[in-house]
Amino acid sequence: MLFSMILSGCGSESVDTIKSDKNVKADAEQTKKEELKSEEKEIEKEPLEITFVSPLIGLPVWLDAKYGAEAAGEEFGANISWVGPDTIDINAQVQLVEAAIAQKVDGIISCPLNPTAFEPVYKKAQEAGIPIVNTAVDSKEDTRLAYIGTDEVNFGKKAAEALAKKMNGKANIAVIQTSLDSGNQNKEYESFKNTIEEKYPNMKIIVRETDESDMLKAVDKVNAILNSYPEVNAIWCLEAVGGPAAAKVIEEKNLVGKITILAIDDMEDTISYIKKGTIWGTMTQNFYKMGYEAVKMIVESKQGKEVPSISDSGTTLVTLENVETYKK
Amino acid sequence: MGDSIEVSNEPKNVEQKKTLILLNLLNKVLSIKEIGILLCLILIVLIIGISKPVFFSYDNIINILRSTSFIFIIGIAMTFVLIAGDLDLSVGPILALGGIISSLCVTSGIPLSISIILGVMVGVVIGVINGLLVVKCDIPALIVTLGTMYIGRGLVLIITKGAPIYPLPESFNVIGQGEILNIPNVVIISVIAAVIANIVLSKTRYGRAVYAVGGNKETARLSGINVNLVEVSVYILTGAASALSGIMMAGRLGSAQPSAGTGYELLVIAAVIIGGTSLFGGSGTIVGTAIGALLMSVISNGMVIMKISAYWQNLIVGIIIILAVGIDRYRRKRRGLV
Repeated sequence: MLFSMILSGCGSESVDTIKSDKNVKADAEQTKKEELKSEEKEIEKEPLEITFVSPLIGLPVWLDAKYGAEAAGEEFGANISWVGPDTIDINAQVQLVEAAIAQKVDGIISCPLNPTAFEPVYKKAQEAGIPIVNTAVDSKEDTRLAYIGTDEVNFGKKAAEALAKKMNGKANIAVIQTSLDSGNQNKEYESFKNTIEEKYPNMKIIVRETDESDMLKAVDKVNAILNSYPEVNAIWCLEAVGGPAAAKVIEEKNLVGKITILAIDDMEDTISYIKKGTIWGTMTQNFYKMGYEAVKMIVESKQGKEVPSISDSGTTLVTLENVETYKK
Repeated sequence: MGDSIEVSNEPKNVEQKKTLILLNLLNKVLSIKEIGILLCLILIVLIIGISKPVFFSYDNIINILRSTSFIFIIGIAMTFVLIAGDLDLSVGPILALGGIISSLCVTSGIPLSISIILGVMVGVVIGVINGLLVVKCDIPALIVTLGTMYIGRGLVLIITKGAPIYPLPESFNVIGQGEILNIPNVVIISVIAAVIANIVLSKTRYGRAVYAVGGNKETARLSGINVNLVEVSVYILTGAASALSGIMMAGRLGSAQPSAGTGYELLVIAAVIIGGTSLFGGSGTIVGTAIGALLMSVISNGMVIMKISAYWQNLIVGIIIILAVGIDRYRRKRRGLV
């Protein structure tokens, strides 16, 4: 108890020092015009404090969300604290949300990987009057202010349609996902499965394996899958490192062109495998938009404006055809 | 008639002798420390291989050996650590750091060999810090290495901002992807490391000192062993081995991943313990660790090969590990090996 008090004491102190440092720097750098504007703002009110609890601080795609949030923070006058565990650890995430509540921040951006595990702490935030915006994964509608992310059902459907078009409605598919308890991936999987069951009788999911978002594990699993299920001719990855891992394996096994890989997200390796033709396509999610819009929504709700409960940040299929242009 | 009895007696004697020799041999084989867990491994391999012959394909066996190597090379060093009665949880982040530092060096134009040495040196430095904190400050190894585990992961994130180092030059990737006579370099490197480690552990004064320190520190000190030096040295071994494994892994994947090695501390320690090394120090062998590491990889590969649903895999892995080690321990107790 005492220990945690000391800890939280330390925490808030360091946050304060960081904040004042930032202000000094910002003041020095601002041009006259902006100075006037920001002085006006600062006289009116302190900038909002928003904590972004990311699910995996080390995953590049989430950095896009961070940049988006920071850009919105600069635009609308909010300080963004970027926190998160370095491995998938739902408990640690919940504790970080809890810490943000203790710091009495003005808003929390979260990604409830396992929505039910977040319900108690979300309730606490509601009681404290702190709005929560979910990104990428949603919890029950009455537990948070808003959700912005890839619509999972749309995502799964789009992936199924894209693969069906590429494979002319005939495929034996292996699915790679992080773990079997990741809520968003399960929803995407279900939607994919329902779509092919309804519309494409000749597309079958042969096997579904997990890789814990570890590239070496993904390589081992894909290797074993291709040895054990020679009928597999398409691999659909629901998490980011699976794509490049599968690409590595099919290059080693000289199966490029015989196996179609549909990956997710646009990490540098994934994009370069698309350019080489090893990966056919990747479903990119718009993490930058998620971060940006989440901050904007918290600011707007603080100003008393209505914000939409659910927004789709959209998905883009990137293949060799649009790999150079999709970001524009 | 007497003759005929003698005649029939002769072969009987020979047969008895033969069975006696066979029994003796069997007894000797059965009293080899690692035989219990080895038999479990063979049994599992046979069950998987007979039901799914693709398991025995050259390609699949090479895959298993290659994925074992990354764990095994750290396991070799971890065997020293556990025999000396210590513990090192910081191996996962050191693995990631080693891969990242080497990759950064090589992509910024530093020659390959120096980049590799610098990567390994990072592991050595963390090993020295671990060792000194344990022996000089008297902080439990569990806490020290838990701390450096977090520090290491922190450093990885500070350096990479979470983004993998990619692409890596072809010359670097050869470490992890190259082959000699169709055998991956990483397998060859880990086998060489194992042979050297086995000789050091069983034939040298240093090896005996490691056992002595793990057996009883006070007795070791009284018999003139520099206990502190031995303890620091084993942490240097795990540091260097983890970094090397990370470098090989980055080469294997053609990309240095910041999340590499997540959770490997438990995998490595499990492989060493399954192989019969005592968690309390004083006993253990490299051969045992090799079997333990192989067992883990075979099970995880076998799950996919046997087409077992992903929902059931963890449950089955847990049961197999407990069964295998349980049988091994029961046998050792009966033979008075524990």
